[in-house]
Amino acid sequence: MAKWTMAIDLDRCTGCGACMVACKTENNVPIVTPEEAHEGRVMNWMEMITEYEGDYPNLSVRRMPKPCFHCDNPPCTRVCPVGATYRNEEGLVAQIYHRCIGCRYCMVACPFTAKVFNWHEPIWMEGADTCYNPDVSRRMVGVVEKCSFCAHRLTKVKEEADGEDRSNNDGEYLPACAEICPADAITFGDLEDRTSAVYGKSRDYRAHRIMEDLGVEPKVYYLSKRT
Amino acid sequence: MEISRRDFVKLIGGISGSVALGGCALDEVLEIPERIVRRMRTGPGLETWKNTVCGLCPAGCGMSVRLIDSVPVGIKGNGQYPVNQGGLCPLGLNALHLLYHPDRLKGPVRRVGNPGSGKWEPVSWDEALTTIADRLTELRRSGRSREVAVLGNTERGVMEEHLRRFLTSYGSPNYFRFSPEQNDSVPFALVHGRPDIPSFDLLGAGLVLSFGANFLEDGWSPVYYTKLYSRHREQQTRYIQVESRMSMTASNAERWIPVRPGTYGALALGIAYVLIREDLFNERFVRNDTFGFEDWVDTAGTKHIGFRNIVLGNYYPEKVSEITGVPAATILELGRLVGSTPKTVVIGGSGAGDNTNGTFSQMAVQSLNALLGNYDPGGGVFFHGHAPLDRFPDLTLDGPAKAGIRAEPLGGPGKDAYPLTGFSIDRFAKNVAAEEPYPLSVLFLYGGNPLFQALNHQDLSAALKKVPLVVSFDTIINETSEYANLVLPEHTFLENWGEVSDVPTVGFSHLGIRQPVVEALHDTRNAGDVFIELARRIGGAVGSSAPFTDYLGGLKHAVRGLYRSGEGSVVTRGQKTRWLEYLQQRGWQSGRYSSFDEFWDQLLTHGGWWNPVRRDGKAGGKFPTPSGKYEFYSRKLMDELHARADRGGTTDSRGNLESLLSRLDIAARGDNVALPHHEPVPYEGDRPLYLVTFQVLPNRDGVGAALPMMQEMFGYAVHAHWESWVEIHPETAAAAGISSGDWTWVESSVGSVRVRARVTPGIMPDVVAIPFGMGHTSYGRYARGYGVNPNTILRNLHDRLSGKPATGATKIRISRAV
Repeated sequence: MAKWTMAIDLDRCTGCGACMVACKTENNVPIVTPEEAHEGRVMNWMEMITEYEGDYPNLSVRRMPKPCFHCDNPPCTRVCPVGATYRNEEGLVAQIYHRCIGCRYCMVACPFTAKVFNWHEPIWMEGADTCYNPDVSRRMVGVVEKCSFCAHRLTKVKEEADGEDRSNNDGEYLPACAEICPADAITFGDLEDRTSAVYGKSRDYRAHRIMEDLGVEPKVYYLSKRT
Repeated sequence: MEISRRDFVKLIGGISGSVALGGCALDEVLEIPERIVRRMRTGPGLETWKNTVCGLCPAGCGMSVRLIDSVPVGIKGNGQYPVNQGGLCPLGLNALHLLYHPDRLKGPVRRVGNPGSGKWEPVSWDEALTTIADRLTELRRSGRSREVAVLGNTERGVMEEHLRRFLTSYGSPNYFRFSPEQNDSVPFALVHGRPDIPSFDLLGAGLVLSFGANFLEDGWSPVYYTKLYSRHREQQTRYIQVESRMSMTASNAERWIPVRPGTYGALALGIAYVLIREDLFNERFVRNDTFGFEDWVDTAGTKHIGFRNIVLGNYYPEKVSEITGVPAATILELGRLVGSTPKTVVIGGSGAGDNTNGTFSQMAVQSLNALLGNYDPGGGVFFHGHAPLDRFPDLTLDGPAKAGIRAEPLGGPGKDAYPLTGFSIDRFAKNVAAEEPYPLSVLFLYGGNPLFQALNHQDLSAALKKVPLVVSFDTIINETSEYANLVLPEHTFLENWGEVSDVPTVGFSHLGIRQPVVEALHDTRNAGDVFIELARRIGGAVGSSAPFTDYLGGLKHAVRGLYRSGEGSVVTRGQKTRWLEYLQQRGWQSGRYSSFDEFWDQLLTHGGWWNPVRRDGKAGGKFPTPSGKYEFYSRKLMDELHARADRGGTTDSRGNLESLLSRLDIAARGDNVALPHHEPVPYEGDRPLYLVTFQVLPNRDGVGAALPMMQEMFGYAVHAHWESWVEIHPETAAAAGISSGDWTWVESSVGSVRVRARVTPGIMPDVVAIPFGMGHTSYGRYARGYGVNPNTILRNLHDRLSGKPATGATKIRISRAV
């Protein structure tokens, strides 16, 4: 059983935001109007957290690109009254949009605030109707959505591998963010595969997971020499 | 509410009806061509990828476009292209929205209202071209060919050659590019003797000291530098950033040294002081390969003071500390660190260069590289060869052309201003507005948005109003093309042919090929083709100046040079060390192509060509300066100033120079003028805070403002969306009673803007910063009316030598808006 895991090297990340846009365009994530944006309704599956540390002029900035952590023991799936979010057989925390009733319990339950809600009728750039990614369904108003680790890419890779009667190679299945990162900060792969790059990263002395004491077993590792 | 069965049926009917409507609406409302819509609806869903080169900033990253049934649906970086190696910036990733933008022009238009009224009527290509060609023919016949100008932007290579060639054969000296490249190269040309901007070896460096070079966000090639930066841990490279505001690049450095705007050069000289005083410089290089370090005597027997004594006498840490605001202890510490770390590379960037003293500051920053001997083979600063493109055939000029090109260029160096400039937007605007020395009759605007980007809005808009025929090639009408009489929309880069070669500061020569990934959606044309057509319609010697039937023909001609040279190779996977070994075995020849057509096919498939082999660092072992060495004392600068001063002056050479320097507003005198020195910026005394501007990745040069996703992302790091902000230090904010999120007035002597405050410790207490890129008054529905353009309140000042806009030369007052 594969354990799809992401490792983000914060010592490499420059905070350029390419992962955010790669994600938005890959997954047809809508934009919101400027008014809604000012209310904090911007929808990003990949979020960039920026914090200043220290006092002027001895400052440093801590950055953290934050996707869904696809916990192995996810708190969000427990609270869903309709089974719209669940942990699938690949270990990914998935969403069934048309089953979602918009109660947002899962958003409250998620300790990492990884989920976003379609507060308004989703909009895209006018004229952008031709450049949706055909592999990802669009969502409607009133449902929760979040990072899927680009699960549609996994489906495709598995189909290809099945057709050729082999298992997937390391690096064949990459989410859009990992593929595009100009700083090569994001590694993705199967943690169960001891030869995979992500396994190596997860064993790095700099590797840690956020809020490990909660016991939710997140599958995103952060690598940073700062503690 | 009760729903009767009848209502329910009606409701269902309504829903299915609207679904059906939604289906048709796509074609009618969005004006996407029928053929595209049909293909995406009924195609078999075949996926293909096509490689091309991004056109949203001068960096030209390789991109792979994903096509489903030949409709572009996605973009990723081209992993084979050596500049970006599969990475892309946020703006490049969003490029498809530019292709499908609802405010793109669907064909040529003519303005019917006043500038800015937004009243346009469609016009056919033939009619538009006839109008222009008739006017051009008439001007040429009456000997007024010099009254035609092209104001380009960052175009280089083949497109530059097309435009230059057209104007030269037509008979006008007025081809200009409003691009930072020309101005930026001035200080490098003075000290190195060659006009190219050098490359910096960040991978081999032990320490990178950057003076306001934001290479991760607004440098020449942010993605290239991000790739280099991301290796810093393995390479053990240390980064130190000197800058007034903690930019994204500064926040990624291990240390940020805040410095007052306009004093970067002084700090560099302060570090030079420590290097010289503590004997930490490369004495062998300085002795053998530099000029003007020690005191010297010229052929006339006049004594000149050297760099060493100027620095030791004037730039001791306490004094530099007073000028820059950097503590003397920090200067000492920096100097010792720079001098003692092997392979320190020093880079100067927009922070140092974008001011009235930018050229002198950059010279001071470069002098550190010279002191460290970074020009030696294997050192941190190097030049590489150019892609061996074939030149176009020689032009044969007729009488009118020969006469026309001898005229004085409207945007060149002035008698009293910008003596070293290649192009000064300030001179251009003033000359055109004043019709001095002659009026301008036809102006072609190619690329960019000068009116939005420049500091001299009033002058420039007055100039644009003076020109009877302004022709633009913009795809979306922007602030500048609002003044155009005709807009002949060019393809977006995704529908166009082109190339991007040898981007400055990238460490190897390269060429990225741009090919149409989709047939043109609208009735648009390549600008090169338009100029070829115009030349043909004018006829005579102008007509025969276009040797190719179309732009693609010219492009293929140029690229044939790469094929014939046998140098380098089409980009391939696994291009790193193994590839270099392979090349070494083959004697740096790849020559694997049996014909040009095969080479061309490979080029289109893979997206580019590169040659990682570095030529010598010093151009044949020597700097092509008058002394043949790196010049601390720039003879070229002194000769140029003397020649200019004596032209039309008295016989008193010294007096002439004195009067020229005071006209140029340069405070230094004597040998100081030609040496790197701190030239004070003429700030206004009555305002307390410095204003600096900066760029963010999603909005390069204001381009991203057209795209709603980029507008939403504009301030992603500070959670600001669709709006500008002003960054202010907590102490300053507290003194002014401002807290984060408050509306404030930022007021300079030029004007004021209303903008929300963001209190952040990442800025000097006496500096505030506003991001550039928003505040459009045109440029489509998503750009217009959001945020502010800080350039509208900057003083109309430019670098005194190079003519570069001085964006750091304004002081402001800030108050809470009620």
